[in-house]
Order: sequence, then C-alpha cells, then structure tokens
Amino acid sequence: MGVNLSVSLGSLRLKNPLLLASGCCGYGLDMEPYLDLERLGGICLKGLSVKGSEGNPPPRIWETQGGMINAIGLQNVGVETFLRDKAPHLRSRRTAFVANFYGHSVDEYVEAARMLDGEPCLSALEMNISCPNIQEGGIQFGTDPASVRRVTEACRSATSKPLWVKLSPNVADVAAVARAAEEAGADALTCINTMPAMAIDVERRAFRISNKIGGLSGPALKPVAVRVVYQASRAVKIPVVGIGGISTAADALEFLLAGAAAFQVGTALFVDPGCPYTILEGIAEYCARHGIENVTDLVGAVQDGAPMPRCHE
Amino acid sequence: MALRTYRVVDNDRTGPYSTLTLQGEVAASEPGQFYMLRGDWGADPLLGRPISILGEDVEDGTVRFLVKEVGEGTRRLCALEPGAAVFGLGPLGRPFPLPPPGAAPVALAGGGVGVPPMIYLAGRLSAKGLPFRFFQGARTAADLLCLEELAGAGTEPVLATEDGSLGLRGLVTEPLAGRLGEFSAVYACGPEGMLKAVQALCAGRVPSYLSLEARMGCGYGVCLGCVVPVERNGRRTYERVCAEGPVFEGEAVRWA
Repeated sequence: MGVNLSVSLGSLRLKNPLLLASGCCGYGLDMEPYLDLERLGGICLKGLSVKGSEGNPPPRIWETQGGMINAIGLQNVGVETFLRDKAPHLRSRRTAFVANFYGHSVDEYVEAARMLDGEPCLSALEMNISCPNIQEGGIQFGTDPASVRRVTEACRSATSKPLWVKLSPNVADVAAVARAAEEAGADALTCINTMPAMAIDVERRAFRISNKIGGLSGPALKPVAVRVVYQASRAVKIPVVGIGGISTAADALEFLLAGAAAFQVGTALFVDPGCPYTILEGIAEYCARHGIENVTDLVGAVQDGAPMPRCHE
Repeated sequence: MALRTYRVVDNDRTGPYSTLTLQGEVAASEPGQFYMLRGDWGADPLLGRPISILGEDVEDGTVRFLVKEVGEGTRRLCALEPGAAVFGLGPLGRPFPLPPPGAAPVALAGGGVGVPPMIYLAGRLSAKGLPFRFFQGARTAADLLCLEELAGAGTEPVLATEDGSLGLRGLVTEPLAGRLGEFSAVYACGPEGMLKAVQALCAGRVPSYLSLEARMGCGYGVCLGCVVPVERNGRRTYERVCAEGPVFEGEAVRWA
C-alpha cells in the first residue's frame, strides 16, 4: 500500500507537505544542481521587495549551539527584476512556487503583492511580517494584532492568489496574532520566522554580526516553533505551515502532529541540500509503519487532552 | 551534486595543521575550489566548514585538504582518526582562471591556510607546462607549509619569514614586489593583510586573482551569508564568496 503524501492548503494542492523555506533556496533554480524541484511539495522563494535591497554589510552570520544567527538583511533583486529575469524560468517546473515578500510600509507591501499577483508561476504569496533584520518594516508589522490585521487586509485586496502570513515567534499572544491574520483574509499562516537573537565576541568585545541582532534558526529553534504551531493551529481554521529547525523526518512529524498541514525546511538545506529526499522518505516509512494511508491524518493528531502516563504507577 | 560520505584514510598532524586524506566519490575539481566539510557529530557544530582542496586523485577516489585548527569545527576536523566519516559537499566555487598558453610566467603567493590551493594550482600549471614562480610567506620557519609538496612542483619556491628564520626576512610581498615586472598575473591566497598588500602592489600594473576566505552558511550560493563588497564598472554590490568567488579579480574587491 502506497502512502498518500499529498496535502491541501485551502485551494492549493501540494504533492507532498515539504516546502523549501524562503531565504534558504534562492530563487528556486539555485537548488537544481542538488534537488529535482518537481519532487518537492513547493518552494518559497527568497523574500522580495519592490525596490530590492543590497542587504546588510558582512559579517552576516554566526553559528551558535545547534543553530545559527543570520542578518542577511533581505538582500534581493526586487520584484521587477524577479518577474523579468527569474520567474520565466520557473514556469515550466511542475511544483508550487510561493513568492515571499516584504515592505517597509503598508503601501510597499501592497505594491509588491499587486506586482506579484499577475505572475502565473506563483501558486501563493507569503507575506513576511516577521523579519528581525531590517531597520523598518518586517517584524514591527508582525508583533501586534492590530498591525497584522492592517497589513494583511491591505495585501488581501491586492491579490487573488492564496495569501500566507509568516509570523514571528516573538509575540506575547500567538493566538491573537494568528486570529488577526485569519480575520483579515489570510489563507494560511507560516509559523515561524527566526527568533531575534544576538551573539558577542568576548575577546574583542564586539558583536558577532554587523547588524548586532539577527534571527536564530536551526535545530535550536525547533521546540519554540513546535509550540507556536500548536498554539496557532488551535486558534484558527486556516492551515498552518510549520517551520523552524526541521532537519529530519522525525522533526517534520512533530510539526504535523502539533497541527501543521505542511512544513518548510530551511537551515537544514545549508548542511545537506539533499535532506528533503531523506525527510520525505522517512515520513513515508513512518506512515507505512503506523498504518497511515494519508499523511493528512497526522495533522494535529498529537493526543491532545489525553492524560499523561504517570511514571510511578 | 549531493552531500557525500567520505572516510578519513590519513590524518597527518603538525601543530595546529592537519592534512586530511578522504576517500569516496570524488568529482574532478579545479584549483581554487573548495568543499564544505563536517564530521558525523550531530547538530553541534551545525554547519560545514569551507576547506580548500589541496589535491585529489579522481581515479583513486581521494581528495586532500589542509585544515588549520581555528575553532570548534576545525578542531574536530583536525582530530578525526582514520576510518572516521566526513560529510562533504563539493567541489564548490569558482576556480583560478588559468593563464593562456604562451603567457609570461605567473606568480603564486600563499600564506598560512592560503597555501594549499596555491599548491594545487602549482601542480596544475606544472602539468600543463605553464611557467610560474611560487612565493610563500609565514611568521617563522615552522609556519611554512607543504614544503615537500612544493619541492615536487618543479620550481624553487621563494620563501619569506617575518623573523628571518628561513628564506628572506620580511613579508612575502617584498620579494614579489621586486620581481613584479616578470609576471603576467599574480594569484594569491592567504590572510587578509597579505591579500590587501598583493592587491595594492598589483593595482594598475598586473592582474591579480585573490582567493578570499569567509564564514559560510551553505557554501553553494543560497544563504547569502558570506558576501564581500565588490565594485564592477563603478557599481558597488555584495557578491558571494562561495559562488562568485572564492577567487575574485583583485581590482574588484573592496573588503568588508
């Protein structure tokens, strides 16, 4: 018996629940020496802004225990160049491309969404309101429910494509932010972006990265991400796409069981660009071993509310 | 290309340096290219380390690296015993452009962990019958690397040590400066100070090709973590050391 790995995120059907995370796979084609893009559920492209950005000065990354801090600064070619030079090459690939985008103002978010809306290769737009690494915009839109609602509503009216909202873990009330995005018309939530973080070189008494603050990613972030996925998915009816430190099938399964309908792989690609294959094989093997016919049966299937086994009995 | 598993077949340790010979599936590389290497040690340290190729034998399935212990990742790489597994992704990056046949001799300048790719380049130039002169600089005689390999490359190297314990006393750029007119290009890899000196020496006189070092996340162009400022046609941008580099035209590099 084969396992059905396909999943639906609202109207969007993916051949499996694995997507490559934005910022970890360039504009898609950069991964082709390492991966057959058509074997993936989808690919979230490097975050785009209307005007593009040269990014932050180096040093931009620092490795930490079980993870890394980055402050790339959303270096990108800009929406117009993407549409002219990159998107045409993606159209022939049969997989779901998701354009990640951001702005420094609500108007810039709307402008980017409007420009991307007409591109046929894009299956969805992922709105980044949670980047810790740019001076204005980014995370400031994602930290309180009112501004999440405002920017999501504005972008909702700018595109007819499925609109995903990528949330920050750095909020006081995940459920409130998640509901604000849902009520404003989001089709899915991506949980989570990196966690704002810092590292200091004690010998030089200097920050490890030029931006001082960066985003923590990798295995160290995973327990936080699983918790946010759990909280968000129980607060809303729209699907949640889980992300944060996934590098193995067991990691991905945790996210599905916590409530993610699909998941993204990011930092693990840096360590092994072929890891999506291993993860998908591991999920299929798990499903077969547990008699699961459809991977969607695992979504949110953690035994919630069941009494915890008590060790002393 | 895929991340492959290699076995350590030899680890020749000298001070903080290890010459690792790895066996596995080895794709043909060019001098100046590198691998991302990490051992089988779980998620900490997480990322591979970019290490230049010292040499390889594709038919034998062996590739060699000289690793200097500078932090936790390289400390663990240097400590690997024969038989240990190493995960490697490579060859990566843009190599040194070879001089055209018939060109005047080129200068190769190496310092510290910048020496291995220059050794590889020297071997390739020798094999193609292209003339070159090798310059190596170090703090002391004990810090000079790969002298046996150099002896096999077919030309007498020019050595310089800061304390004068072997070869000329001073920086490697000093003997190079005196003979710059002999060369059609200068290839260099080493500490940033040395590369800056080579860049300044060659500016407006002779093309230079500098192999840069950077902290890398992925090594294959997607994370944008390893960028360096460059200027081309009056326009300043960031380029990836792993993808547009590690070898850059000296004229373009603006440093961080």
